[in-house]
Amino acid sequence: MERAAEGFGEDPTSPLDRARRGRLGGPAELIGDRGRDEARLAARVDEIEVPQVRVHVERDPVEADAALDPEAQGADLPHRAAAIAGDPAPRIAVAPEGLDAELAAGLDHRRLEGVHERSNEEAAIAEAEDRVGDELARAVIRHFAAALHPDDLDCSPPELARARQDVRIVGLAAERQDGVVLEQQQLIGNSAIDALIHEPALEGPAVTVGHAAQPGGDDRDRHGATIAGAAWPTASGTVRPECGTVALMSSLAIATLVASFVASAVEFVEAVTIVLAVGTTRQWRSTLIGTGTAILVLAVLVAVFGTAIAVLVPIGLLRLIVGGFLIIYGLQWLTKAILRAGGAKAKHDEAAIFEREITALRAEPAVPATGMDWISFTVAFKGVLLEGLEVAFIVVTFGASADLLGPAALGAAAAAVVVLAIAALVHRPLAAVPENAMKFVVGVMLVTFGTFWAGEGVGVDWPAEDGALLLLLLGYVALSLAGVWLVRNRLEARLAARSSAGS
Amino acid sequence: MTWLRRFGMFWYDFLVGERWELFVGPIAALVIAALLVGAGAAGALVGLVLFVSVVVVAALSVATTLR
Repeated sequence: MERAAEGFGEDPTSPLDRARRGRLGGPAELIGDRGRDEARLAARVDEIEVPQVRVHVERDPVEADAALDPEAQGADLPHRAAAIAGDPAPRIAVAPEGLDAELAAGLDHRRLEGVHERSNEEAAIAEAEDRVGDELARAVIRHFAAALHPDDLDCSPPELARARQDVRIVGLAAERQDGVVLEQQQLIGNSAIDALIHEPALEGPAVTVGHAAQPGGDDRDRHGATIAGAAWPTASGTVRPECGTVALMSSLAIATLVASFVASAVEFVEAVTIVLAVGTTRQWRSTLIGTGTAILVLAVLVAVFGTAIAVLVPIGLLRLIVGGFLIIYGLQWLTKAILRAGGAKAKHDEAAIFEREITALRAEPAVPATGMDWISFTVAFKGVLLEGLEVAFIVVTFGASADLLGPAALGAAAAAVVVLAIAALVHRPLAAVPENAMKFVVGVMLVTFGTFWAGEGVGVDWPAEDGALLLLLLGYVALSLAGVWLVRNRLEARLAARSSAGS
Repeated sequence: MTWLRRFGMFWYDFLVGERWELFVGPIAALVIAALLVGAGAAGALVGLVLFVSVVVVAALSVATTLR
């Protein structure tokens, strides 16, 4: 009986089959038997051909450094010669040099197929597509990858416009907005176009594709919400980027730093006047010890209360209380500044205060010849502590409300350094410092932030989000200047009326 | 008792100070804003009311001082 050819190009009369293997001369007799030798040899495995469309050999998940590529998920698509310059970064994705790796591979992938060599005991696998022996690592939970450059910030411009201020600084380069991880084909270091020349490279060692890092669990939802512009809830109510984010100081942080610096500088000028009066009149050593002790107490108060308030008090209630106090406190500063600028109230005169302090200190008992002068210590400690309490209040309230304790404390510390350095140089009261103008500025800023935060605390949904701060600031500045003008005119009119009545 | 009284007086001076209207006024403004929010008023309207209320409090305090 003549046997028919089983495949294209096979010679039915040949003793060898298509795969150049010997075979018996008879036709297929059993179900699933294609007439090959193996099925008829009792000593061999009567194997079954297993059709398998696609096989990816997966390894256990491993933790590896996140890819330093802003577009790690599409590393094989862009037309670029060198996608990765990061180092050290093990198992990073490598972009191929080809113009279109997928297209080229699709055209030529049959030529890349290697010869099927197997032992008789192995099950035969007919692979529909196996051009690359994939060995992919699955996604693992890692921290966000660092953005390579501020330009790589993940938020698109429209989202940035709507995002909260504390969200804008977050760069999540390697993670895209869809939050979905798609497993990729193995990326090959050489060009797919040159596959025929460099074919052995395609069968080279597996290269792990570095998937984009993904936040785990609820964090993924939080991230999505953050990108969309909503707040990322934390203990203090704002985003806390973990490692790998771009730490750019936001405009809110700068405003906080400036407000804290100016307010602290004003208070430190007043404190320095007291310290100078005590030190020059009595004993510098005890005065400086008292000053240092007061600063230490203030630092502890800020650290303890600032942290405790931020952690323990819900953000809505915190902003209502703090915002209310900032309005109250800011209005006290601002109204005094308006009255002083308009001429209705005497301006703060550091030289006069200095003379008054010296007169009072000279009435005290004489300085002891040895040891600590407790009068110097007490007066310096009390003066610095009381003036510094206002600074601490501002730092704590700003820091707790905006989760910006660091910038607020930094502003206060910088003010202390600057004022003390100037005082040490000139060695006299800093009467030339424009205290009233500084208090005017601080008062406006306190009232502005207080209105904004207290409004949020009662549930006001400010139009333009943080942009409302600028509108409030401009409004308060304009009306405060108008207030100064009105006070001045009122006083001039009153003086004119008196003079005309007198004449 | 004297120490406690001094402590209370210190915080009264620190928070209320010379002008009690600057303490009561902002609280009243926030109460009004909260009521408006509870009544479903628009955010822009409530924000404007809060801003105007603070300005009015400041103007009244300055005017009282000048009188």
